[in-house]
Amino acid sequence: MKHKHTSKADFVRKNKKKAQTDVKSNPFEVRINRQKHNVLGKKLRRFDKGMPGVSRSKAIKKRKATLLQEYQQRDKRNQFVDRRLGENDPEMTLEDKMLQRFAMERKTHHEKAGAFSLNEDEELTHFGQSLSQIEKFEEPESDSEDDATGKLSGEYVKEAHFGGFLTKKASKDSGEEKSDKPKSRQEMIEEIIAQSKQRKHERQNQKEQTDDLREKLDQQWTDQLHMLVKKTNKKESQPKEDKVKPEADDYDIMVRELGFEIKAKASDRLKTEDELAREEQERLQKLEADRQLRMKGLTQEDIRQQQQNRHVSADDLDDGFDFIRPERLQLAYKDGKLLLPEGKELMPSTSDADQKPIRRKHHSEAASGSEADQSEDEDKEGHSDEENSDQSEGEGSDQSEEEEKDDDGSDLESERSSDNDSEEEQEEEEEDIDNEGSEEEVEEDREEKDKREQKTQAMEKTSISKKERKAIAEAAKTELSLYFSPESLKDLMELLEGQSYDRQLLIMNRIRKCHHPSLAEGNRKKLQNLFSILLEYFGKLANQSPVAMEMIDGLTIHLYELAQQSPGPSADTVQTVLKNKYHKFDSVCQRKGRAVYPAVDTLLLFKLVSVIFPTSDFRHSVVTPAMLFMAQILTKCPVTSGRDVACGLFVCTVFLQYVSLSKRFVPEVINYLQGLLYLAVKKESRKAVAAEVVPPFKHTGAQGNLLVLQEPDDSGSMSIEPLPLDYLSKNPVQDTDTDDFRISATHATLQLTNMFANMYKNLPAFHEIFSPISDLLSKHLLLAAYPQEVQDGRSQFLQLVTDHHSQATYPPLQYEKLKPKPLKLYEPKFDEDYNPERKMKGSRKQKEKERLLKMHKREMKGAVREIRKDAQFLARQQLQEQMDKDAERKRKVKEIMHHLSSQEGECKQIAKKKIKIM
Amino acid sequence: MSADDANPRAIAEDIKRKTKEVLQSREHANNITDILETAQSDEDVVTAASLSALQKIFSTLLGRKEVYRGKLKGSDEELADPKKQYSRWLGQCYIDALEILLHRLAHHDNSDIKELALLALLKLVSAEGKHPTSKSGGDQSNFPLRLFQLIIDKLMSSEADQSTVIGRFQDYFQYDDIRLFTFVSLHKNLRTVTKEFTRQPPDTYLHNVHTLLTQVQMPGEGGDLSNLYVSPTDPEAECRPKQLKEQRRAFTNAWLSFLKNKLPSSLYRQVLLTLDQAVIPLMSSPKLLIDFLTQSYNVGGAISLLALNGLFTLIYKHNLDYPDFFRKLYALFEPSVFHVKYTARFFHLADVFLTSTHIPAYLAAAFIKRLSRLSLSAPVSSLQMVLVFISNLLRRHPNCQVLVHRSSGEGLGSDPYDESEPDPAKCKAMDSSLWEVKSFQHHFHPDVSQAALLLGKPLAPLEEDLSQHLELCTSEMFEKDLTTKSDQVPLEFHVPKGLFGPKDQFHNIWDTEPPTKKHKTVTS
Repeated sequence: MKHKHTSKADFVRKNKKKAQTDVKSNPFEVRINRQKHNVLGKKLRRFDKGMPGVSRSKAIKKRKATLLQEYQQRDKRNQFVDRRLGENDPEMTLEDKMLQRFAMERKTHHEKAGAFSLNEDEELTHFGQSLSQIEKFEEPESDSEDDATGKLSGEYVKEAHFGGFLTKKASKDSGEEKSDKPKSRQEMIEEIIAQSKQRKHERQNQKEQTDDLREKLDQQWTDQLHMLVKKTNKKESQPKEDKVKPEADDYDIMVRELGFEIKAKASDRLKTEDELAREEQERLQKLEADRQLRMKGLTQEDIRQQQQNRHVSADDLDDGFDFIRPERLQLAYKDGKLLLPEGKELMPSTSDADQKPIRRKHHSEAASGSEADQSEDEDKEGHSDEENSDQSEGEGSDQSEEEEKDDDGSDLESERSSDNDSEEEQEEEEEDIDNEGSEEEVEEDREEKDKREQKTQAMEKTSISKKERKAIAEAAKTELSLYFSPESLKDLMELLEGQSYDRQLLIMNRIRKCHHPSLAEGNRKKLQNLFSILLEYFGKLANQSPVAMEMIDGLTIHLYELAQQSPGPSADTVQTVLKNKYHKFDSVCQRKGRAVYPAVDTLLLFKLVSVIFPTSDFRHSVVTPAMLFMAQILTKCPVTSGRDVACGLFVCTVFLQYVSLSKRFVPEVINYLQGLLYLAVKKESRKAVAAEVVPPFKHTGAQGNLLVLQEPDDSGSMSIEPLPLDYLSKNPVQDTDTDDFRISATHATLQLTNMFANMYKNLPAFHEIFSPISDLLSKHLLLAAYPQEVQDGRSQFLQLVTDHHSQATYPPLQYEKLKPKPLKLYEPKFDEDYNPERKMKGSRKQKEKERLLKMHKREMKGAVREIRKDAQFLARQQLQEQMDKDAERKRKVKEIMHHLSSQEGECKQIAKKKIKIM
Repeated sequence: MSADDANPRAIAEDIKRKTKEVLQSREHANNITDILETAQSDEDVVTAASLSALQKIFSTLLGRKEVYRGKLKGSDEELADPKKQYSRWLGQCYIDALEILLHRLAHHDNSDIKELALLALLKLVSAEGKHPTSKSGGDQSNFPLRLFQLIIDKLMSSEADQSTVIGRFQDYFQYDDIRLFTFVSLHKNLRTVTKEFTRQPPDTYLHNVHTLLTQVQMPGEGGDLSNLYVSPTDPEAECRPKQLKEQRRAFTNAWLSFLKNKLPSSLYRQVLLTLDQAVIPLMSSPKLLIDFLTQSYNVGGAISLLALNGLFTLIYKHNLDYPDFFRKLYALFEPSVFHVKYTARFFHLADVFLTSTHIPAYLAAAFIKRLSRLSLSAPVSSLQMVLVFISNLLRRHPNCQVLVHRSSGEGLGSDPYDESEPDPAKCKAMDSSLWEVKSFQHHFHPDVSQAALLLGKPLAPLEEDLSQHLELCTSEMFEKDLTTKSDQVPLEFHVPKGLFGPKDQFHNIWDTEPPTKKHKTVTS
């Protein structure tokens, strides 16, 4: 500690001294530019002040210390380092140095010698007292902390400072008077310390107690707060609270009531049906536009870039003005009301988020339903079906609202059950009204003339379905508590066991509603989990031998809606399922070079993908892999049975649907269809027909006649039915080895071929793509014995191809014409309020860059200058050395010459003397 | 013998003991006959023990020069000398022992015994080499060629698969003399065998030969060839094994006589696969392979595809003039080329063949057009490769760029390209355009359509690397598509009514009505 102190002091002193020496180095070097007039607020320029001489000498000194040293050491390998203690410290006196060295010596000696010393505990002391003794008290200075004030207690002062004097503990020490001996000072102090410790301990205890109490109170409070928040909107909750806290006075109650009362939020006015319909339409338009963009493979960024790179005309003022900007509204009033163009609102809608998707969904359904109605013929059966499904969906959403209410008061379920009936009735009435409203919305879109009629119809249906729904809902309520979500497929199966499909769907609906993400934290996760479970269940259902289409349809809707709630995770789930199936398939493929057609669940999964995800995207993380998978199925699975044909046709159909919007080219499908048609050609006398087939089909083979009619004579009058999905399963109920199946399959193949041909009409290689099929059909597959419909399909296709061929022009290919880059012809830019004082405008980034550039330049300049000065210094040094050397030499020469001349002189003198002598 | 029913291990011990005795003194020489007898036992342990015993005995006795190795002419005047008699008797035993060993090498079920026999024989070869009879070494090397020939004959069995034994034999190929004489004897053996089987030697035999031939590691240029198994009398003298030329000639002869046979197709492919890398560079005159390669090239299918490689090496490095090469290559471009195993190899080779920029433009154009036509039936995984291939060809032959860009010209009635014309010069590919590639701009896979789009623009000057697309398979593409994740996954916005909507394409083809509903209508 002490040492540290001194070193710091040293440091400060040294610094001070250094500063002084710097300034004082040479008074002649100091040059001060004196200012004649001091102007307030005027900044001094750089050269108006300062001491150039001083800084120069400083620089030279520094160079002497560093550069010169290096220069002098330049050819030396070794260096003498003086490690003696304090040798480099000019501040130290000789005595200090000696002292330190001695201490150091002792220390090293001690360390060396002490390495083996045992049991030699040095007793540490503090003010002559052993530290080990002092440490027994936790805080030796505790008396100073006795009070918060830090003062000694009065009693202590009295006792200790004023010694007791006459009143020497007359009453106090009565218990100890037996000893009759005045206490020693030591004892007294100990006693005092003990007392203070006791007091301290008590205080601590008390504090702990209060802390405990407070915590308890907090806990109670949070518990009750929880209840409070839930119940404030219910009037019933208040008396309960009173029971809990009877002593609370009216004012408190009032304050809390006011504090926790949910305030009514300002809401928008209800929109009219027209507005809703228009909004819906706009939404759909926007989505469709988005889809179109994705189909072209453009991302948001591309679009932004395109907008940035748009053409700038010479007349463009570059003020951001754009003609295409319908958003600008003219503010106008009429009859005191704000005039707005149609479809515009004053404010963006801010209705709560939970309600919105439901309403939207509901509505979009209605819209699409109505579209379907218009487009389709008056197909009665289908129509009413649709109505039904519409209806059920409507119920679903109504149900959801009810559920939400339920959930709000979930812990009041028991209470509610008592007066359930009355409330239920009320709700029903409300719902009735609601329903009518929604139905009206739906009706509004439809054509005007059958509006009335439909409305009455709808009314009837709602009333019917209402009864059913009520029955189902009550049954469900009595049996199930669906407030948990299944963790795995097993859980779900337990839940659904023995239930009819309708009930199962209802249960799923309830589970989903109970775990709506808005209701609790973590519900989103649960729903994502539910999605994967339902997907698993979907696969399981699909693999059942008679495919339960009804249930699958219901499940599909659920899966779709769940996916809408959390797109990313659901896409991941589908991806993993797809991946697993693919790996299974691919491993077989790589081992054998071929594979068998996957099970029904995989095939239906492809279809499901097209329901949940948009298939027209240029690149989609689920759809593209699915398409690759399907393409591989079509190229790798040899056709050996009727089931294979059915599977292949199914995959082709799925492909057709995938690319129906984007009209993308799938060569695999065309090759596959060609192969199927080849299977229907009668191969005479072992000679392979001179038509090319592409693997997985072979020219010759055991299954080469798979689709050739066995009894061509009586097949002409057979009726053609669409293929049942049952053919896809591994052991179908219906036999595929019949002419019926063959005709249907051939018919389906021809239909698909026609559809694809129509779709690819605009491909430049249309003829090349379809020429193998048209060759096959025109030369080998005459289909004379087939029913009329099949023959029609064939002639239709041939007609299409010949038409196309006659019209076809094969324009030579050319590179895409690149747009010539326009020269940017800007008007000169005038800054209206140009201020030379101010820095250039620009973004923060730009400014930062500029600043850094400037700094870099300055540093660069500085470094160059330093280097130049270093060089100058060295040159000077060398010159100096040279001059010194020369001078030395001169001196020596002079000396020698002097010596020689004196010698010569002497010599001459002696010679003279000799002569004289002689 | 009573030992027959005894424990085989005990017999083996007994054999060991007898061996020691034989080696200790001549008194126990009769033990050799016992060992010869036990060597024919069925027990593997006994056989193994006696085989190694025989080897030990005779290599030592050969060392002592006690074994007579001349011709056994029957009883002569020398019989009088008991010493000579003994040595003659030993010579007889030696021949018997060799017979047994060779028999074991050729016909035994257990490959360990075979290996043991082989090792024993090779030890004896070395022993014989150390102590040559005056006749045996015609040249300077003392290599016992006769014995070795016998070994190779047995090794190249026409009945059993000898691959494991040959694998063992491989270790000896580091010795230059063994390598050389293997080829020599193999060549001899092949000649005799082909004579023997007039039509075609059995497949197992050919497989054995092939295994042996492929196991050999030939020394490189300038390698030191003095690692000899049997050291010659004069170690400094030039002898056959030390000459690379000799080695190569023997190698070439062996291969050529092997390839003269009609090979089974799997072996054929294997040979063709390795020919280019492992054989041609090591042959003394690779041109001798021309007949074989041209024949293979004319076979068609995968074989000719594989023969390409060797043929090209000959053309490229050994100045072979092959007039119809490109025409035949053109004929190899057929739809099945995308569906065979060797697709990547084929396209790699085709790329190499067409590397030269001195190929006439019409030829390049014919290949380009043919490829683009074929690509219509290619699987997805090959399409990227094909498109890169085409674009590279277009870069090499700027004259061919009319196929993708013709600045003037009117629409034609049909594609002038004649698909069925076998001559690339007459197929009119130069008048055509790559409409197929243009169609691929609408391909369903984004990578393919992007690659096709690149061909719709002026080409960048640098060629693309074909090799990274050659081995691309669908599973890789699948993985890549799965991993390229965008932060947002777009969703379908049309709300479904079920798995199959009423409007979608399944409507007419598939019966997608729920079955229960139908039942309902039936019942009601």
